[in-house]
Amino acid sequence: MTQGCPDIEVLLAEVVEGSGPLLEHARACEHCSAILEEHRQLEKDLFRLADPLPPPDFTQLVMARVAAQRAPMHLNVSLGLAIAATAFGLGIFTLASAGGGVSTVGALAGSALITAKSFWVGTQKAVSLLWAAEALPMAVSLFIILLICLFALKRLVGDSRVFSEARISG
Amino acid sequence: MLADEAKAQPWKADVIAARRGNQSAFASLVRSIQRPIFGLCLRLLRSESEASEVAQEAFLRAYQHLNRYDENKPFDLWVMAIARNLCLDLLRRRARMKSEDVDEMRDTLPSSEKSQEEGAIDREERLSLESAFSTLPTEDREVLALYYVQKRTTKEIAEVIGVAPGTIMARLFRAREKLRKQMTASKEVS
Repeated sequence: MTQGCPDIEVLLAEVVEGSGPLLEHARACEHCSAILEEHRQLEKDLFRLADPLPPPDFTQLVMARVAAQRAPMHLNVSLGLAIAATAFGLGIFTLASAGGGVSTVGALAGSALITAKSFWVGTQKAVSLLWAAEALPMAVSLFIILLICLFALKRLVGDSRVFSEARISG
Repeated sequence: MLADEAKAQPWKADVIAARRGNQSAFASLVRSIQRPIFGLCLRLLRSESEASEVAQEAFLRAYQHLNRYDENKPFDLWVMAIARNLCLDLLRRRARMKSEDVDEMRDTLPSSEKSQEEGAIDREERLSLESAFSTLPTEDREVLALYYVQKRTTKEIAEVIGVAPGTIMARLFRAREKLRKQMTASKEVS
């Protein structure tokens, strides 16, 4: 760079804009003109470069790894919901067709509700009695059950850390 | 209307099918964008085996997290961002291990590009350009590769890199000036 010549990056920005005092300087300056010409040639050469081809078996390698994976999580949830909905529908259909109409279904549902309520009250009483008698073993058992549930949940969800590390947007 | 949408978002139907578990739809997505993904990985990592490994991993992660992808955005840019971040992670690990082999790329790239470029650009010129390219820092290689080699817009590059679009041109000028200086220095030596 000679004395009075602008910073090349600032000059390049002016080239993109198409006009400016630095560009005027560059037109009159042999040194700057030569650099700009080198940049033009370099741009041409760079635009001619192309991406290399991946290995011929690249897609097969990816798909082999994909096949070894569990299905995406949302598929499991969708499948579960579909099974639950189908089972519910079949249950309602069976009850309705076997027992003589919607009224029977309603009576059965009411009966099931009452039974469930009795079961809930009984369970509550049993737990409170058990807690009064054997609080420590019960607390340990609950803690172990909680740990097992958390472990199972972690296995089900998978390793989410890997994804966040990749900072995937979209 | 539907045809226009399919033209504008060619990946959308395959993404939806892949989400439903259709693996051949995902294979079609891989085939359609594997070259730019592998190309960027190779320019960043400068090792064919590592680039292939990381590009595969990027596709695998894309498959695992397809439900988080917004299909209204370009699929290739999404996978590109994943691949780029995986490359940067590997480069960081490499830097810690100090086991980088900067010469491997010089033998790798030209052999892979013969069919596309032979005749369009002189082999020796291309070799010296690739050689100078490979000596640049990672952040310069990625903007040059995305802008010149893959012909991405500054907006697309900004999306992949995760910076403001306004900063891309400045980064490009800086990278190109470094490359010019490197080329000039190599010519003087030879």
